[in-house]
Amino acid sequence: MVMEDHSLLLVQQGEIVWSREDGLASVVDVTTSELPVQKEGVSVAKVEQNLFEWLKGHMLKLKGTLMIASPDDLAAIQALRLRSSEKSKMTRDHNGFRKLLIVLTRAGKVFALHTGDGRVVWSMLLPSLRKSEACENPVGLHIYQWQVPHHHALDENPSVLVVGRCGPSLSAPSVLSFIDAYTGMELKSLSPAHTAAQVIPLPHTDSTEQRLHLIIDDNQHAYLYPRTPEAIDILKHEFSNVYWYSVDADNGVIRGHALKSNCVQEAVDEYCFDFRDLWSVVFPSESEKIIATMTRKANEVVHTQAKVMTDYDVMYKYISKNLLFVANAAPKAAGEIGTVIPEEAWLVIYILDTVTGRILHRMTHHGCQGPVHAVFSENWVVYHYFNLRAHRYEMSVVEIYDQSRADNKDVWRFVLGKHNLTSPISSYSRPEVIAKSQSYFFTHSVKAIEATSTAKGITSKQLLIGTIGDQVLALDKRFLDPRRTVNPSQAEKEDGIIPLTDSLPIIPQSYITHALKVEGLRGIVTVPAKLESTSLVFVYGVDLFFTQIAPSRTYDSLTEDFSYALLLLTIVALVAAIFVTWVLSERKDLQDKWR
Amino acid sequence: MDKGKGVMPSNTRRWAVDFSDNSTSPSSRDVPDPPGFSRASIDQDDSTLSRQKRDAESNWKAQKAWEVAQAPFKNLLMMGFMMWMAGSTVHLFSIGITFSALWQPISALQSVGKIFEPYKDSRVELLGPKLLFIALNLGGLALGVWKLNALGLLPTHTSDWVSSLPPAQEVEYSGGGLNLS
Repeated sequence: MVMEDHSLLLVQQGEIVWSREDGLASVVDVTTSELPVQKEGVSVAKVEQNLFEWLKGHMLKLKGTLMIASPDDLAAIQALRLRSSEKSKMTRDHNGFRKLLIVLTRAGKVFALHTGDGRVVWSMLLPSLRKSEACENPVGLHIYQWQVPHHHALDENPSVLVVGRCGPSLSAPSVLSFIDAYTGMELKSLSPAHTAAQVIPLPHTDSTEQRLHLIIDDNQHAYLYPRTPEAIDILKHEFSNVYWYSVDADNGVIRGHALKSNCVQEAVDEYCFDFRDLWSVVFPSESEKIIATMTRKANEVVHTQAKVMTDYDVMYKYISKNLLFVANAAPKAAGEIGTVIPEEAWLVIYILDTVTGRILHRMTHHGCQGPVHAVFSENWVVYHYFNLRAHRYEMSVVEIYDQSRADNKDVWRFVLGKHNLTSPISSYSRPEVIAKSQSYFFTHSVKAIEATSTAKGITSKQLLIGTIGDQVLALDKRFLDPRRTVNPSQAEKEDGIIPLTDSLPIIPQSYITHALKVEGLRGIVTVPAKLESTSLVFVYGVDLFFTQIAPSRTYDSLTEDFSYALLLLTIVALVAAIFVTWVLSERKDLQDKWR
Repeated sequence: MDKGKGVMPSNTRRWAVDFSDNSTSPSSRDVPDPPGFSRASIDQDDSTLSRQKRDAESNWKAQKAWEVAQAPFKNLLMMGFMMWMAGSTVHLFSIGITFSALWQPISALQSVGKIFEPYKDSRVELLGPKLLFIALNLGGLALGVWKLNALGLLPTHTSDWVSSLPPAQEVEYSGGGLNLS
């Protein structure tokens, strides 16, 4: 039996034999949440509740070591071990490896998976997203982090916002649902009258640590959530700095808008705002059709704004969160690969600033077509497409640097602190950007690309490439460095620049999925852990896969087989040796004086 | 024989004569003074002798002080050679040599007073040697700092200072994209 939430049950003679949550095969969106802080006095281990059970557990383990356990006992021992192991506890850990992955499936059911062992902590079929007479074809669209309490982490639970729609078209009414991340209970459910064409999470939070969101409907009105006067105050404070851009792929137009004022409508709604058109970039529809867009992740952390090249030369990265990467293909080439000849196919990529509409960089690849998969991180974009002339897939990298800061070369200005490199920058100042790019051949076809992200952004990045074989390859970003040359000089080799080859190497050991396959791979999500060297990776498709990867190996923690005993023994031996030799030397001194 | 026995009861040897006896009374010795010899003149020779001795002492002290002041020069040359042998890569040996080249002048400068203590004299001008000592040690320190710079450990380039700058904050925020499908 297939249930409404896409779970399967086998019912025999009125009894459920097994049930399986198959809704997890259609994950639509993923977000993460931290687990509760470990409180003192509250025992987290629920295993040791009953003394009898504890004794029984120990007896089973003893039988296991003595090899007289039956297969049932072995299964029970395994279950005990799994339940009480470190990685499946329900509290935060020091390295930030234990988190909750909150996934929204197509059935409208929200699951919370524990990153330690992947078990379902809670699951909730949202009542607001169930089929009813009010809502004919509900579909869940996105899930956002709503409230992440930092200051009140011990009292309040984080919550997430689920945005859904009651029908397949854009003009269907929207559904909002706020869910508690620890218990899965629906805190609030709203069915506002407006539609939801886009959701913009703003970088501001109010005093209860709820993040402000603007939901934009298809009439270009923005509705502010949470609907509190305090949120309006915060928005009014930052009114002139909030912009919105819309990508119209059918007509090939990208428009930028700024917040204007409250809506002019019959009913006065002070949480509704109007936009004013600022700029528009119109792509010629007879030669270009938008096939892919990509932006940076909003919560990405960049460690430093300078990149040191060889010979102590410094270039400043153009790190702006308001950049958009657009890939346009020739209209004939917008279909399947191989339906067009190379002379009629080209791929044009743009990097736009979405506040001013300025085109910062444009490049044309002749004889190439999509589908284009791209990832935008820090100041670089890596995108993957098909080269018809060479009959191979290609990956290109574009890195953007800010030339207007490059005349800060005097050391004394830095020593005395008289530079303006950390003052806030505006997109309206004229940036002189230069872009460096390079292309390489790549043999695999790609389903998804993502870059690793860490807590402080210090660790070098790896690109996680979900291949057509349903495996994930971790490719070091150093292979996609525009500074690569065929014969690097000695200084460049010391810098770590790999000599240029025409194709990217696929090292079989760098598949993070090892021998497994993530069937029907659809998306890759990376989450930073608290430990700087490690990044958590969640891959979803029909199968779900989770792992921790350390792109530069774990340089900030001791190895697991570090012998603390040897260290202690050495220290004790050295202290003893110091004491003994001190006594001996004192005695010798005394004897010399008495001679 | 009688005379020898009676005069110096503490002297155990009969025939030993103490030549350095500076006593003024002529009768303290059993050997009579030679004719024309007056004891009083020995006193005058005493003071000149001691004056000469003191002169010799202070000359010797001054000479020694200048020698001590010039000792760091040899040290400098040896340190220079060892640093040249250490090479320009950052290894344990080169770091060790550089830091000992930096530490030796500093510790010598701290103990300037103690080094020149034995040569302290009211008639010896110690300022000159001391200044030379200090100057040579500062030269050694400069050599150590130069070596540190040659190893690339001094923050003399822009890249040393700029790598710690956090990214600048952006004033505007822009969101949006394709419509949710």
